[in-house]
Amino acid sequence: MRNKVLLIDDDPDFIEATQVLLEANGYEVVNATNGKEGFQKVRSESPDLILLDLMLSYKTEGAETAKTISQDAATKDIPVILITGARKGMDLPFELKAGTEALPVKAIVEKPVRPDALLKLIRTYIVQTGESHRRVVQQIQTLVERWRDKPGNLVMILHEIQNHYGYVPRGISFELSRLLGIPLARIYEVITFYNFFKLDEPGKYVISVCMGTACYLKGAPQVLEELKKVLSVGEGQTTADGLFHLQVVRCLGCCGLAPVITVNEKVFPKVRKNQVMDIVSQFVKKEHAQNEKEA
Amino acid sequence: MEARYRKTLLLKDTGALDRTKEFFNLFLERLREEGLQEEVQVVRAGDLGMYGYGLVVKILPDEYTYVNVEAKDVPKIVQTSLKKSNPVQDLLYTPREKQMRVVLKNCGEVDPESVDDYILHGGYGALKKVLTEFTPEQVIDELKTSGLRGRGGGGFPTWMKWNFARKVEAAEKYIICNGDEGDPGAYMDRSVLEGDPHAVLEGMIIAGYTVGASKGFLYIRAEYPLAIERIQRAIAQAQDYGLLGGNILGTEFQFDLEIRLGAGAFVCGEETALIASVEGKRGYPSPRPPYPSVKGLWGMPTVINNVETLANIPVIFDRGGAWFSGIGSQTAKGTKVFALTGKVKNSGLIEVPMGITLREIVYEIGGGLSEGKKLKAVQTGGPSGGVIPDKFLDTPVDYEHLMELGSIMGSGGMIVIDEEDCMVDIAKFYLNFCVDEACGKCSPGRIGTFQMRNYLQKISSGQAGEDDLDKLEAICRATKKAALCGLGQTAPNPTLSTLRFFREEYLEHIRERRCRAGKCIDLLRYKIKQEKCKRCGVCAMHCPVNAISGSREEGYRIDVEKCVKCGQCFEVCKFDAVTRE
Repeated sequence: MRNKVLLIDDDPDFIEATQVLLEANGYEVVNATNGKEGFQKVRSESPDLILLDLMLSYKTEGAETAKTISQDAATKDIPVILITGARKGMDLPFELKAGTEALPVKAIVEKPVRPDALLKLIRTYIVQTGESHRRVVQQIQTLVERWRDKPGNLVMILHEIQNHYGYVPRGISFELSRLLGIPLARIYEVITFYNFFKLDEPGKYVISVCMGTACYLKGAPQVLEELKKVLSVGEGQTTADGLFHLQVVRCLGCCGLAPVITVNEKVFPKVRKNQVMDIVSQFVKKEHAQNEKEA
Repeated sequence: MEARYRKTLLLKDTGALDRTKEFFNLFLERLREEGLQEEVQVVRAGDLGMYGYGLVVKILPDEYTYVNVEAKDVPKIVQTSLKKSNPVQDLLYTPREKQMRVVLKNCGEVDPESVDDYILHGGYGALKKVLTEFTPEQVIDELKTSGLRGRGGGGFPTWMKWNFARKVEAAEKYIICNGDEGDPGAYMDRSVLEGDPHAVLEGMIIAGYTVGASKGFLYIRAEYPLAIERIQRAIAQAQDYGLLGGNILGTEFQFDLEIRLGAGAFVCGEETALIASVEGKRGYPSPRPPYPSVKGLWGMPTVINNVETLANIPVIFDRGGAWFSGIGSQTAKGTKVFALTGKVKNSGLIEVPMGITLREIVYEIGGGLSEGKKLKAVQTGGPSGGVIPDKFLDTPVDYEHLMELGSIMGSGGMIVIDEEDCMVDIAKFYLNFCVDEACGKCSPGRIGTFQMRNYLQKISSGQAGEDDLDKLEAICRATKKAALCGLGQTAPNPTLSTLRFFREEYLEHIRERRCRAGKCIDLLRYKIKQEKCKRCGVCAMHCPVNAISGSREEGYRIDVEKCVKCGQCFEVCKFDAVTRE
């Protein structure tokens, strides 16, 4: 099931462009051109996320729509991202700041909107899991309930979230903060302390290069350099196509196989520099074959 | 077809003299006298794989091996072992195995996913014995007799740790199993958790009974999914069998266990940081005292033991503390599991009695160095330990001896280093690790490690002066004294120990700007040997910075100023004309 985004804007060009962008990235898009129609669609379509223009038929219509959405019990949990044309000189009767009473939205984006920035922002609020956002929230609720009475639960909850999504999406941290009644900073403090937790979506194939002492002595640094060259990314980065994520790990605990790398679960023992290209291309080929089959 | 001979006797002199023929005749003569010549075949063996045991006799199919046999023993052997099938006890050879499996005895023998199989092999027998026959005080006494010391690195006597926690009055006490094995190049705990999960559980339950705790946590690295899965299953099985929960084995005692996952922070191996992490917080260490055994998890007395320490507990109560203290050296009892890796032929997990020498480990168990290289040093204790140069290879492995040499036992990483490894580079490797893993709470740990690394970087890039060595040592000493936790205090160890034993290598980097192992890239110089050069020009084509000039007529040269030392020319040259030194 695809995640649904509701687009409320009075500019048909913006609607068209954004719709094309979102649909190409796997979202289902519905749209409305004014606040009233927009709110009706919020109720009837129950989208996972709303992109809302601030200035519709008059300059605060967007803000009022956001308020209406936030006051309705059925719709108040849907994240809203506000999009605005001109920040300055609008002479608004309230401050242009997300998350306030006058403007109950998650984030504010200024036009012109950069496609990749918008997509990234959307991904922080809805996790593309093939499940609806509400279902995700429900899962988080059950998870939290399971751990609620156990002291010291935060690290364990984060582990379960990362296991499920491969990283800890920002939107879920928000939910978690609300459900556990602890500040978001507390959650981020823990996430950023431990190497294991990731804040960004990792690539489809995670390449881990072991840098344990045995691997180091037996040539892991050269293998890492070669991987960087072949993939054109640095440590901890993901390739532009989202296919590979390169990371260095402490020790995989199989020093007899040194130097060792893993690609997702697959282990490659005693890797030499000149094998790197073969290993990477294996997965590229696999991906191509799959794409062709689908096409 | 009926076998022609009932028995076969193999004969071989493994000493200096070859008396095989002489004994061959002696045995034949004796057999004839007994009328056994048709039943026993005597064979002069080529090689029995044993050396230095005098005359060796092996009897098949009974598999009796007799060593240092003299002429007077011949009638006895014929009488007892050939006529009948009994062994001659005083000649019998007992293989002096270098390895001794105490902790790992069940790994590979017992199905780690079945509590029934564990019980079948005597598992939970120790727990039953302790719960029914021992008071907590007696448990402490028995542990004291055994002489068991912590296997996580420090070597603190386990009985003392337990006793401290036992004596404190508190509403709740906790047992934590430290399975946050973070040393690069070490995987002992992983093997125990995966191979014998119930032994760890049993150790924890006994600890709980002794100190009066009713709750325990197993803190395991998230990077060990199989270990987590097996422990999870083991806990569920133990709960089903009434080995966890209320009224354990029909007694009043109650105890339960839960898993907490580490998340990739080396500092969490330090006990106070580990406690913070179990509490769901950032893994920051805190000053000691108070020690966790007095004030630990949620402010309650807490015993934290390493996986291997806990896995030793059941066998101590199975076979008695006295038996355990019979193994090992004067100050260190029992066995130790090491992950033997690096430039050694047979790398792998080994378990040896304490007090064995490094030479025995490297050459007899590890089979010597791979590719016939020369051994330079052995590193123990990971980023908190040091290097032991080859001249100290006969040092017995125990806490005190390693400490004297500026290293530590550590959790069990043992890395063999050969002449192709640069000591400065190794020190830098460990410091890089410590800089990455420093949690940032105290300045010596945060800034000290960073500055040490800068000096090492300076040395390995050939920009250091000799006074920099003194500065480096001063920072090492300061960090050692002032850092808050164990990680910080021991971070300078690899540097200090390489400086102590391999100072000349540091000086070589500084004075001659030379790295004898060829590991410090900045000190390398690439050159084209004109007499070997075939003037193909491939090197010039591959040079990314056009540092190679010349032509097919004039030959090629590397401009040292322009060269970025990428090594491309060295790799592409098919005629070994490009050299680096």
